[in-house]
Amino acid sequence: MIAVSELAFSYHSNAPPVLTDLSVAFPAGDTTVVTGPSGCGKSTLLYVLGLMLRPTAGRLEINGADAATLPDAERSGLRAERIGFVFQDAVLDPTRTIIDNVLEGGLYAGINPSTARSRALDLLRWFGVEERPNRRPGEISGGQAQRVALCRALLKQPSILLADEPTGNLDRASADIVWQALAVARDEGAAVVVATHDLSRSVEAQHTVRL
Amino acid sequence: MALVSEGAAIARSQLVATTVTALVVAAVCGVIFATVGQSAATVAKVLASIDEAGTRTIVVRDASDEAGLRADSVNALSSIDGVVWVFGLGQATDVRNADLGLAGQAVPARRYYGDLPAEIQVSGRLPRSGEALIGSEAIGAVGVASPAVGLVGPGTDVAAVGGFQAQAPLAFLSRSVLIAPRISASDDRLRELYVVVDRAELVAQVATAIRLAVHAEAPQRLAIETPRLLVDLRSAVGGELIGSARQLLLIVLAVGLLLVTATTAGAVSARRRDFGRRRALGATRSAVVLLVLIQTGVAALIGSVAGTVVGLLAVLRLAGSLPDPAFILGVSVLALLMALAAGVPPALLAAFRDPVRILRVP
Repeated sequence: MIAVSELAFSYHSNAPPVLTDLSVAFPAGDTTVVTGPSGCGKSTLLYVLGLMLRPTAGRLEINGADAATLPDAERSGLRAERIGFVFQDAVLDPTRTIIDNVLEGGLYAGINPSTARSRALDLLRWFGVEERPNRRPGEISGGQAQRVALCRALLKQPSILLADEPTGNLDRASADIVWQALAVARDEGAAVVVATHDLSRSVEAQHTVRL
Repeated sequence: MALVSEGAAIARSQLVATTVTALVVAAVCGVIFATVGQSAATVAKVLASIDEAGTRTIVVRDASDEAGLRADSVNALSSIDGVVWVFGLGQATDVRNADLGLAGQAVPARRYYGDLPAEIQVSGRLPRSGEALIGSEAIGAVGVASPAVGLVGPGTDVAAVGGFQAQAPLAFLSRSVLIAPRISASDDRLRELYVVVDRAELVAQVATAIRLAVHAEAPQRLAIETPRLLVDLRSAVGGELIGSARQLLLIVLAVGLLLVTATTAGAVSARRRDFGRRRALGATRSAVVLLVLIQTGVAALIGSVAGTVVGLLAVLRLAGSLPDPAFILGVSVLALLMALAAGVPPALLAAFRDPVRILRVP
């Protein structure tokens, strides 16, 4: 369970707030879609939930504990162990192989390397990108790259999965696969939060937050 | 462990930065060996030649035989910390070839006390009590071709059983005959004691200890001669040469430091997105610092080994000899530490960047 209450955020002290007085809960085992026009703060909310930005005001609770004020090392620890993040443009390491990119998802959580490797190969197989896992990201399509990014996020079996426009650059078929994967993570008990422009996907979520 | 192999993998994936860092570190090692290494060899040679003049030798003299310097002082002084060897000499008497009698040329003969040091190289067998060795320059004066000869003098009748060649600080003995001490000689009187210490810096300290430990009836009448001028000269020359070598070393290290910092900063800057992603995936700031330092360390290790090998080959070719192993190891480790220190500012820069600013798609 992740929740915010009376949350406010602005990038600079003299800049107008991007988020104001936002109170919302993101239950475990549910998918919550965050929608709204460009610039309304969808991505910012995900970065706050992903402990990459500190709220200017309000509380951010993860399993009942206030995570907003934790020191950086503890926030990094939570990101490493419990939060999976899928970026809009995959953000893979172009110099490393696909399997290495997936394994990076467990690197900072200290997952046993052989366990991580076996799970990474399972995930790649499930997402249909298991062929030649030693390819570089430059050798695969955007849709495949986003699926690899999902494998990376799911490797640590996160209790919170955050996805920022994960299908924004994908065709319909690839987008369907991504949404299926998000549904699997939800069914495994994760709190899934997806920022998207695509209102049609609201039907796949249990909750919708409009900013 | 996983972070170490990840850092090594980054070093492999960033071949240009790794190669440049390795080359800089190799160049630093090579330049240090070619410059400071040669200076160190020069310092060692100069100091060795000063040492040859006796910077480590203390002479205890009872010139007028009024101090009553006893032979058992040899054992007493040998136990002082820092003393390498002690060698005592009794009063000189003239001896001649027994076959020639008074027609023969007189040479000085002295009883010696203590083990023969390495500075006296004996040919033939070692003398037993009452036997003698003839110095290389005294053999001709005695009028024989080989050192096996009977020698006589006032109260002296000995058989020479071998010869010897003496080196500094006992080189003057080459013109003499050395007579082995009697079995029970602890009460014999000495005229001179030669004490060699481990390092020139110990001379003053050991000279003070000698004054307290020496066995003599009137120790205050003994003259204890220290090579103070030579020690001062050694200290001044050594200090000057070591100072300039150290200055050169610092300059080379500073230049290397700047170059490795610039290279690593460039590599870190080119991988802003990489470090932003790592932070977003849960890498702590210290993990990011560690990754950058491992990457730099791997490159530096390769450069250090390569630079040391090439530098040593160059020194061997130019100078004909290799520097001290401790110096070689020191240079390699110093170059490695220099590279790691150079990697710290870029590593901190990478660790403290805001991942959101880097990763956010506008």
